[in-house]
Amino acid sequence: MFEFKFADIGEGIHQGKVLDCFFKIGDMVEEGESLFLVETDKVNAEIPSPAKGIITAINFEINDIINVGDVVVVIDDGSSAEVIETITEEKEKAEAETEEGKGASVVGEVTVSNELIPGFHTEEKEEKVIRRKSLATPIARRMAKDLEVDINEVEGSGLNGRVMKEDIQKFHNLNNKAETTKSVVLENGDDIREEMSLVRKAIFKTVSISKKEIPHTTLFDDIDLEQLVKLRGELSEEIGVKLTYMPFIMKAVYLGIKKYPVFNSTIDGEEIVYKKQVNLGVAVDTDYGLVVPVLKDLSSLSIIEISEKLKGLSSRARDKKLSMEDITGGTFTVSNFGKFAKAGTPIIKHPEVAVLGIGRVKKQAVIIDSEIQIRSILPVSLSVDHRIIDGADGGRFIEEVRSYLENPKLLLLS
Amino acid sequence: MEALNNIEALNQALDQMMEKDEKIVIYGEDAGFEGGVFRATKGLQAKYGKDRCFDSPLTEAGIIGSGIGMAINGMKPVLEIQFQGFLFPGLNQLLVHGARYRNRSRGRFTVPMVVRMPYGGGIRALEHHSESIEAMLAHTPGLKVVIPSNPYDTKGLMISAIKDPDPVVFLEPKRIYRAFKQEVPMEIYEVPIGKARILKEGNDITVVGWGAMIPEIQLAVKDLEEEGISVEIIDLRTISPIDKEAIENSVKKTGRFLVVHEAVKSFGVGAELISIVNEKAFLHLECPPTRLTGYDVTIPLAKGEGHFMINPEKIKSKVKELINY
Repeated sequence: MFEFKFADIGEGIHQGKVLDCFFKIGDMVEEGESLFLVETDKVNAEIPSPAKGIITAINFEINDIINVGDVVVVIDDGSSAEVIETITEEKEKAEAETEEGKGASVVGEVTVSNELIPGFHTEEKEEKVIRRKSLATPIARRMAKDLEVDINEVEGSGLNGRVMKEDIQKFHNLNNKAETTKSVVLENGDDIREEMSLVRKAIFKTVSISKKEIPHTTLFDDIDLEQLVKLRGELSEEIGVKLTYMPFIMKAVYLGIKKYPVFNSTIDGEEIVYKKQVNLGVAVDTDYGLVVPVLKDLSSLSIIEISEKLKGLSSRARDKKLSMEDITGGTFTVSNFGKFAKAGTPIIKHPEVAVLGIGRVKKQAVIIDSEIQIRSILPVSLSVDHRIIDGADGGRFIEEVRSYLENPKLLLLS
Repeated sequence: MEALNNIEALNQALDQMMEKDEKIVIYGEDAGFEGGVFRATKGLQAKYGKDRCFDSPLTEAGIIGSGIGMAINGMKPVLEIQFQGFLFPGLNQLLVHGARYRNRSRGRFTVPMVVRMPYGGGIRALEHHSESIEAMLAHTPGLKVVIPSNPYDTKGLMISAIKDPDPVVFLEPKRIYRAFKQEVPMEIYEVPIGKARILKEGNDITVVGWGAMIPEIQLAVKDLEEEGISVEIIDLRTISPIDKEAIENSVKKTGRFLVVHEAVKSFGVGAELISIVNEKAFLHLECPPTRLTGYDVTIPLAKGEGHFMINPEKIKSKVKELINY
């Protein structure tokens, strides 16, 4: 009998899903023939039979998950001769071990040694100074550890001097205050220390989480805005309001998401949650730092409405008047750094899965139909959560957005 | 003073006590003529005659039952069970009668009896020769359970056990019967039952063990100390009653607690000690009180025994884990 265990087929996989099985119990299989098809996190692979013989057991159903090391198929390869061989081998091994373990009888093998261990004598012990250790519950110790406070330095206010959580917090606050007002003197004069603002602390935290949790990949591309430049001019004149590119871009993003909903999703454990509503965050630079107000539910908004809502959000952002409602619930973010740079690698706003960076629109010489033409070109960079979105998906998404921006009348029809 | 190993120290204790007190009788399977399979009672029959040191039939219930009868009637039997694995036929006598006579007779009778037996693994013995069932015995009120780890304590604890008015189970870690020697005073002396020994003082962690674990702990601690970790070693010596005070004081000082025992993990003495630590020194703990034990399986035969046994490496890594908790 040959017990065939599902082996790691490379890449350090641990399990796979059986997609198909090419044999049934009782079939004859040749060595090297494909037994079954398995899907792993990297590849789909046909697993060849390790032996020739009759299949006596198949330990899975189609669509089962099998783990590396599981006995998946048993093949009768007439190996009883081989079995005898292993048995005698083991027997010989056992005999050798018995030889080695002589005396492992009723009495067994007792270590015999004349090594002398130190004796005991009763001498008066000197009084020792014992380090003072604080009284505290494990939860308080944990807190002290998290705040990097040496709990033994904290004066306890609880029963019998027990260090309470409040004591630790107080101690921490005091020490940190002292720290922020301290300036470090260097040879070249004083460095200046300044505590981060609350907004900066929040940015600090969210950006850290995004970069720590999300494996980013960023795709760059150029979009020809020549048509949009024209259309924007015409529309602005018509309605007497100066439109920016942003409403058009957001509408195009909305339509891209409609076609590829994964860009409007979030990850929950091992499930992908596709969000019904498209709420676009827009990164806004203010003099107190970066904020991302959210434009809710683009499904029913026209370009003009988007434009108005954007203006409202931007002015509220600059006046520090954003409500909680304004800054929560985003499902995808657009970050416009055209004012500051040609292009960038935008960071995804956790728990979203993608962000579109908008660069600086510039007139460039481009080759169209073997002729050099001057066009307005917009560099875009799309960062995606590479765990659930592949590069090719990103490319297709950009392509969809491009199709609307390069032919902007379609935007007005949607 | 002379340097003796554990079995010699035990033999000396029995010999000196028999000489001193003629009420002491010693018997068990092969305990007479042969002097026991491990030679603990060697020479005693020749010296004190067949009436005071003799072979019993193969009947643990009979050995312990008759011992209880003798003890109630003024004798001081010191009984040998050849291996702890053979104790089970005698458990009814030991747990239901021996341990309860004082209570059953409302204090009128006591049972001044010692039941000795080799126990524990590490000698590549046959199945059921290697278990550690100290927890099972310690779970019975009325029994004292004693486990020495060195010659000095072996002699002193055996003398205390013989003098004790109640039944004492004396578990001998057979792996270290002859593993080393130690200076042992010639005179009769007692090591108190129910008192742990602080083998080594330290500040960072308390490590408690008993029996054959002690040499392993000492080896581990030698390396740990070189790495700057200060370990307090406690040899529990008595499993019932436990020296709670020694444990409590030590953990209050160190803030960390590890118990090491060869016996299987679940429902072991380690769990009891951890409970004591939680009850007595909770506010001093820097990490969870922890046990390093055998696995919850029947101790393997010679071939696999090494995987089961506690060794200094296992102890070191567990201590470091707790120090860095």
